[in-house]
Amino acid sequence: MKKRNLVLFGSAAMLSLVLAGSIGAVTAFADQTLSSGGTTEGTVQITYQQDNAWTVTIPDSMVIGTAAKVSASDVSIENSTTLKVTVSSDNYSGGWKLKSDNGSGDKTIDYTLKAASDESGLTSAPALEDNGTVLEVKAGTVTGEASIKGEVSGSPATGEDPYSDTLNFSVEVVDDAA
Amino acid sequence: MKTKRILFLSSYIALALLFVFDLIMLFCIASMKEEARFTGGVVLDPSAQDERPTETPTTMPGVTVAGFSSLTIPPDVDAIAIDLYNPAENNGYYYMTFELRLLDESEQGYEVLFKTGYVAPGKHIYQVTLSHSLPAGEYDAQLLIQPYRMRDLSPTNNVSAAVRLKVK
Repeated sequence: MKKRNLVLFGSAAMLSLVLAGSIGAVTAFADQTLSSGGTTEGTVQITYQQDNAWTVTIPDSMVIGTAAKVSASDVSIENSTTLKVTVSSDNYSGGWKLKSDNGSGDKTIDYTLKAASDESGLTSAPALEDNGTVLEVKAGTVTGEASIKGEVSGSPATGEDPYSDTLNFSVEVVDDAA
Repeated sequence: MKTKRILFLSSYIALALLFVFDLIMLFCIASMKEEARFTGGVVLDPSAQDERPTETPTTMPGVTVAGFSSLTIPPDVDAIAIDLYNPAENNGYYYMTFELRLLDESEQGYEVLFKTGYVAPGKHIYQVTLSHSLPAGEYDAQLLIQPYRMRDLSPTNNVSAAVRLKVK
């Protein structure tokens, strides 16, 4: 009885080993079939090129009355071109507007936006219009920095509604001749 | 006889347990007295701990965005190689999405060629699939880079890059 069981166990083990080996062999064979003859799938080299690279740092959000920095670094652009950073807003309508975050957003507060090469120049800087220039970095200059600041120009906020505006900073490389 | 034995055993166990309990209490009291000796006689609450540092700064740092103004891709393929990334400087603060818009004469003014999901700081997108391939030529496009605050996924100010798309 013991001997019979031993034989049965041994046969089962051998069968398992053979089956496992067969599966492995089939897989290898399939790989070989796919990689030779017939329709061959190879690696297609898809090239791309990115030029006129730059890095800019913008304020997360604008806090009215507080100056924020806009800076550029690692500017690598073609000769005789300038990296130009401008600012705009979807809320702009005849002027910059903070909109109430509650309800339909029809409550607005007017504010002015100014930009200067440093914070001390903000007081005397002219007010920006929509798509106004915040920062310019000429080719050959790797970095640049400017300060921007918003100040309420209309009626102060009433009630406790939060007001905000989202600024869109556009980055463009323009020809110096333009 | 058996009952007597059981009773005796139970009493013995109870006494032993009581003895152990007393030892533990004595040890605790001694520890408290020792602590009180160093704290001027005041026993401090052991659950008190140092002030936890605030995880989010009161003022968010600026958002760092990396981009380019010229992109060259091959014609008639919709899977293209590219390198879009969220700079590591934004670690802990901002995710980012990238959307390439092909400017056109439609009412919207553009069609979207691709838009990525959220990209974590330090991560790159090396391949995208365009909504359709483009024939050879040069096109005006716009790369919209939209950051989102990690803490609540609210959008911040964004960057829109004018891109000259060269298909050749």
